[in-house]
Amino acid sequence: MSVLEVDRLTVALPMVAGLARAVRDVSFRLERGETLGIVGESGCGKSMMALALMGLLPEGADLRGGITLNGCDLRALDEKAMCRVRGNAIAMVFQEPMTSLNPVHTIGKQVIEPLMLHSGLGRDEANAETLSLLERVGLVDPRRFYGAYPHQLSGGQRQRAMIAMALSCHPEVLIADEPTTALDVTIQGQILDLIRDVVSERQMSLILISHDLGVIAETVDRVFVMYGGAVVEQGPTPDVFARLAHPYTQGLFAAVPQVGEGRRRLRTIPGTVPELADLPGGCTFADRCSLAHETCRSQVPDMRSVGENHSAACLRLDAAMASSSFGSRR
Amino acid sequence: MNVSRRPGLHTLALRHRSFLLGSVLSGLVVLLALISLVWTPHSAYELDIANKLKPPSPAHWLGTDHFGRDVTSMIMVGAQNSLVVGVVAVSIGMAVGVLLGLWASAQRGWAEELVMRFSDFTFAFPAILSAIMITAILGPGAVNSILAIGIFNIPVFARITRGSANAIWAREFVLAARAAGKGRAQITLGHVLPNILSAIIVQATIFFAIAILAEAALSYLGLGTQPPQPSWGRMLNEAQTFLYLSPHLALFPGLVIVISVLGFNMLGDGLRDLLDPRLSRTRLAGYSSR
Amino acid sequence: MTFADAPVVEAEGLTRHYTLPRERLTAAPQRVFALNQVSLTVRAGRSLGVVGESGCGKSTLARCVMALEPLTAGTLHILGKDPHVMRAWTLRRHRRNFQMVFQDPFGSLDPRHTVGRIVAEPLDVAEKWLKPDDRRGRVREVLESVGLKEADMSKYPHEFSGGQRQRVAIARALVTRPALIVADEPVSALDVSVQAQVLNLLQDLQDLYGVTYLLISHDLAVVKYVCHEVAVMYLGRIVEYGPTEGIFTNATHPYTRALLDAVPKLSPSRRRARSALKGMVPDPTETNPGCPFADRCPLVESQCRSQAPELREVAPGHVAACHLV
Repeated sequence: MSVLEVDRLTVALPMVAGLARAVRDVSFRLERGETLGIVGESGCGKSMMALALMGLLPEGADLRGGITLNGCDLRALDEKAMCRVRGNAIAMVFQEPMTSLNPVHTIGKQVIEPLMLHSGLGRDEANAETLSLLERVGLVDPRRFYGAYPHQLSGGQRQRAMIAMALSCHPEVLIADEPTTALDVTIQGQILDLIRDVVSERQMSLILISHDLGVIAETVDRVFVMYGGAVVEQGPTPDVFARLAHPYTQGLFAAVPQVGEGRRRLRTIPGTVPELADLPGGCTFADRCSLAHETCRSQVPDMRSVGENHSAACLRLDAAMASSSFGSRR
Repeated sequence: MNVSRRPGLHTLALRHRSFLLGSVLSGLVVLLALISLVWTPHSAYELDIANKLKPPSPAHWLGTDHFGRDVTSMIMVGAQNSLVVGVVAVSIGMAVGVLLGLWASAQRGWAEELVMRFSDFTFAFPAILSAIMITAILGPGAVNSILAIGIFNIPVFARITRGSANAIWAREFVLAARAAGKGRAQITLGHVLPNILSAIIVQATIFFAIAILAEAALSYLGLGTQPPQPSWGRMLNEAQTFLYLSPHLALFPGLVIVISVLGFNMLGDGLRDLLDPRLSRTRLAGYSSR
Repeated sequence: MTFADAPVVEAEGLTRHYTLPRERLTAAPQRVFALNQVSLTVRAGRSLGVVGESGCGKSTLARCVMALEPLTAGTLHILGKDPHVMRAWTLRRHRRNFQMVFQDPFGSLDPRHTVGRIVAEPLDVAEKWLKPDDRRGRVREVLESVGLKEADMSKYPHEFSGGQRQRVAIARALVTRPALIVADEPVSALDVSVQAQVLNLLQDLQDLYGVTYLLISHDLAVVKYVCHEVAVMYLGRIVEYGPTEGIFTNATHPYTRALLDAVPKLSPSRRRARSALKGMVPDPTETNPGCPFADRCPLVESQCRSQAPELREVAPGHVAACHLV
């Protein structure tokens, strides 16, 4: 049985400019031990989806569709029951550890509190557990970090502390929203390795959200590409990166500067990311797509298979896959 | 981040309750003062001992005082007095205080120290006590009470200006202006002042209310506006003697003081919300950006 | 100074120390060594990329070159003149020759000014004698060269997306036709697809106007696309410096190699072995006699801890500061 099942999840947010359709019709199953990556640019709805899964949507948000965790419908739960699920079954690591940690409490206190709250361990056991958690996430000399305040830690250490907090109650699903975006590149590798290790060690499922294709490529089994609130391409990571199907994925891939290449012009995607409150009808990418036809502007594309478990939402898939201008640059 | 189309300021203003109520209340006070310039039910100065201490009646809506003067008219003329004191005192405080604050923030170093220690020094005395001290030295009167209140508004505005200006000086667009070759004075006028103006306006509105209260207090103590010029504070003072006999004499001036202070305070709070640029982005916008 | 090959920037031993506020009244104030003996040269029409992690001093370098921050020691020449010894007014006029593009396209534009006024700002000082029509013409011309329209002049920054705002910032830097543009992380706040547009624009403008860039970035790949030469900084020092090709194909300093290795690659690979750098960037308040990178270096030897390495030539025009090369 899948750990997490998401069925036609849709989130709409009232904004001054109108109703923002932040997530549209996203469905997936996450198996135990599976790692899923969600990649997209700002405003593609990836963070909103994470908040929806955590039941942490801002007030006034309209949520539709089903979220089932271990056979239990999360949408039927009240806030109190949802609190038990958060931390116990699903945990989240945020982008900016400085703002997600409480500056007036020590790291130890912030790890031990959810632990005692959810697990019912006694003070001494919880203490020992906290120290071993801190050690596990690479905060060597855990006693020193136990009594330290967030501002005394570096960015990487804070993110390690956040991971310790997330792990404290043995969640089954870990959601990491841009966990390394605020960190230096040499620290980024350490944190990604840590996340990958604890996830496989504890047989957790992982949803990794990132704007960085490289981070996604190196960390997860399966990848979702989101654009304008919807998934435009999905599939096993090696397949997607070997055969980029959707014109947006192709464009995104070509736009990333890579270390292994010379000084040259980058291929760009014209225009800018659309406003979620003002999405074009038809295919949301049509305005920026070089392959767009008239039908693309009027008809919403369905997901179509391009390989085993690999599909993309594009009306002109054949042309997109055939165009040799993009494609893989392994 | 969102490039949101913000609804017009007036649409937002109509939705803001405290702003609406505040503008109605303070508008009422201003209206009273304006009408009194051309018309009052009776003269506010004419004595009519025969009709002294009358309760409210169709002839004298709010009754008469111990000299038989019409309370309605006195309150209306008193509103002029309060507003003039408020406007002039706040203007003095704002003009000098904002200049000092901008200067301190642009110069940093010893200039900032000087201005801030000067503010600390004046903050060490309770404002009303200091105002009493100044009027005691300069002599009682409307002009001197305006000066006293104005002088004690200076450090308040200096402090607020310097705080907000320092925040602007730390912004990258100021660095960009420096890189473009702009001098301190040009940056202060071109970038800093326009960006802190709304904060200053909000403070001015709130301190306007405080100035009205301070004037009432000084007049109550006999240090402010002198007779026969009607003033709310002195009306309260004179009503004291007849509190059991004619409670309406204390009630109505007290009420208008409360209304005007409340009104300008709410107006200030409303302005603070409406002029806050963060309101122009939506509260939810932060969630949809990565 | 119009020789085609004349250096636009010549920096010699740039050093910048900050003094931290005392923690206790009796304690000696601590000093932060943000920039230590940095020397570099950028010739006309070329671009130098400065890369490093946060706290390595690259932004301090940008601000010191822009004369927005004083130097503790060292000399800097821009077009043969030292902005740090100029009188304030002379410096303000000299600024037309070197302009800056900032990281944050939201913070670097005054929200209360129109785009036209923002872009024209450097002209207020450099060419204040311009007639309103000529001024407008200059602004229009430069907006068009960065891909914006004349109609955009009357708009406010919040009406633009991040990428367009960064174009406005570039237009402002270009309007005085400067010889040098210092760009501090110009694309790190932008989305990938927009980032590529801005990087291409920077290249086009260089081809068109022959402008010289000093590009500061944490992203090696970005630097690689735009720059002819690269300087890698660590803890306020340059640890490797040379032509882009040389640095990327033949990285010599262990820190450069670790940086290159840490960048996630676009090909999915389960368990790519990273030459994981242990630990984090140490506090720049400490001073030790050895190599600043010694604590994290996988190749560290005993002499690294006792003696700071000098920059030595490892290939023509390519220097590195490491005892082991």
